[in-house]
Amino acid sequence: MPALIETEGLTRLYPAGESTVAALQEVTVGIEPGAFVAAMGPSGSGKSTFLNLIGCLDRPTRGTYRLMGEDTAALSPDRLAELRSRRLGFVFQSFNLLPRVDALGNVEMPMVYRGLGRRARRDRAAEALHLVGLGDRMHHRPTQLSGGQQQRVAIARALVNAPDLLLADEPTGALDSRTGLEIMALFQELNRAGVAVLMVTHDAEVAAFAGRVLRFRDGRLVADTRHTPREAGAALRDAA
Amino acid sequence: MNIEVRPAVAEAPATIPRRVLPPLPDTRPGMDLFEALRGAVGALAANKLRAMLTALGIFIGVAAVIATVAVGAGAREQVLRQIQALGANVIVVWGGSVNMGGVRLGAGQRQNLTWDDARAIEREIGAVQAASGNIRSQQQVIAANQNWATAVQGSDPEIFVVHDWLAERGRLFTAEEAAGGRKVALLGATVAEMLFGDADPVGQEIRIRTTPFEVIGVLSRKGQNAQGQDLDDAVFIPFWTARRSIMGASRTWFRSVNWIAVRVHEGEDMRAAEEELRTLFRQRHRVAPNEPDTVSIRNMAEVAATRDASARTLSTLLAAVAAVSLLVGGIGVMNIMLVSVTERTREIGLRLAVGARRRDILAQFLMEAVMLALLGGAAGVAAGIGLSHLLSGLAGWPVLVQWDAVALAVGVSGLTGLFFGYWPARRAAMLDPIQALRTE
Repeated sequence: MPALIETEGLTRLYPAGESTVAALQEVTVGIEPGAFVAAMGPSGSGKSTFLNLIGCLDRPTRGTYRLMGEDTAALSPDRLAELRSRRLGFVFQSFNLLPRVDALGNVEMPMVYRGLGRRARRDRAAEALHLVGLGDRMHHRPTQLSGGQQQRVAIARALVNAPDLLLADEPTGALDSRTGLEIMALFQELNRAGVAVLMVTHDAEVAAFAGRVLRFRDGRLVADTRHTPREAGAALRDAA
Repeated sequence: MNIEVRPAVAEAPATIPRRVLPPLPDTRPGMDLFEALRGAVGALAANKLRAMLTALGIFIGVAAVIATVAVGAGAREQVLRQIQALGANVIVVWGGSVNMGGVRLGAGQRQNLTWDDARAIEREIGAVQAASGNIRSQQQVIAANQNWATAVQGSDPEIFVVHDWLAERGRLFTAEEAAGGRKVALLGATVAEMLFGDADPVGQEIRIRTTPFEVIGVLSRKGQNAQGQDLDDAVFIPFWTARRSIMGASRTWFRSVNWIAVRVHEGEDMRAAEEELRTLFRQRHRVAPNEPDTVSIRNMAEVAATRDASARTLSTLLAAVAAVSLLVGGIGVMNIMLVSVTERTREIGLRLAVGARRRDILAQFLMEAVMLALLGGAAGVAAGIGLSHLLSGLAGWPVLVQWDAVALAVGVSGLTGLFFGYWPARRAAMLDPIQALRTE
């Protein structure tokens, strides 16, 4: 089975006036399918740049990145968009839901770009909302939902295209700790069901829910550790 | 990846189901136009007032285009009808003005035209097809128990040739009847209606003053002239009958006519014919070279052509103004689309992140701009048609909504949306998703 992600000497430089800023330098790493990986580090460490590169939102200055064996350097912007659509799902710190559309419409949205018919989209979006436990909130708008519920809608949206990899940028950053635990429990659940997760966080407690932690500092990958993940479900029960 | 959850998580909360979603069918990537349309409608509906105000610019432009084109066409049609009513190729000769101790009366006041002038015109000028001497006065006309005050016109039978007049019922009077001074009358459609209602007047008797006449026909309807005068409100009798029985005059004025209507052969130069007429009258009236003309000659086609030209100029001018307002409307669309793109930067970033191609974003914003413009365009068409009816009503012109102009206006408004929407849409499509997602 090919690795889900393989990078070699992945480097991203930004021009800053006369000089350049190295946001990411020489990162070589492989992630296997179905893994739950946390990218950790303080702000400016390069973890978000890493996530953007893995998410095909950005292109590396140097180095290679293979997603499921496919080298992304040679791909056209349209093909990259297709990769994002078929292989990747994004979850953001601030949820990024469309305010004037209900939960169902928000979850439906990514499928529009896959040329899926309206009926099929609605059915599948409803299924995804059931999956994240919001089957009874389908016609609520984001403003009518709590933060945790909004993040669940966002997760349903990320799942709806059946991605191989879920990319999460500080997914618990805007939530209280209990709701954050709930979201982590959902992530672990989805991960056990086979979805790989790459999560960016600055919080070691949150990173503990992943089975592998990549630590970044000054644009470099400085540590790559594996450990037994903390159980979010158990933590929830303890808290209760 | 549709993998069953391992039994180890049997204690998971009830809200979390046991599997992820199955893979999607392998559809062709990309958004179809209908989805772009739905998205555009949704985006516009979210900002109804703003959409309406923006569309207003296009609305005014399109309404102005349609109304001005319709009014312009109506005005030209009016001119055309006038030419037809007068008869194309018609020149009218009036008597000269009178100068009585410094008081100058208008053209036709001087009784210096005679019936013989009409014959001379026909004889001397080759380009002339027919000429008719005419006199006219207001008379009371009586039929059975009805009566009606109307214009009675004494003319030569050539008048029918000059103006292309036809009998709708009965017949026209003949040269023999005219020469014989027979008491026969042709009624204008209005007079026929007033005196006989729906009954057929042909063969009936009418009296003009006290003289009985036989009605031999009714002329086909001619409508109104430029001054709104009803051309069908008149009775036509042979010239010599009129002179002898109705408008008797002293021996001096017996042969005089009010005006001579001249028909020039099709294809002849009207200006040249007019010049020949002028020369003929200067000879007949023995006018010295440095003296002014004794008669007034009017070329109706020329008058009409002048009016037509000014109507054209006016409508071109109005159309230019309308085009400018459409341009302003288009700039309004561009402005609001730029605002929309800025406002929705994060949304664009999100859409790009979940798999929208740049061309999908472009299509979506273009669609929105085109919808906005078409919205204004459609409302503008409705208002423009209404406005042209209103203006035509005020001016007393026929309404001529030009459907090609309507189609053009709608098409142009759509293109305006496309043209002015392209730049903002391209800006949206070219956004960097990472930057866009970071925007507050």
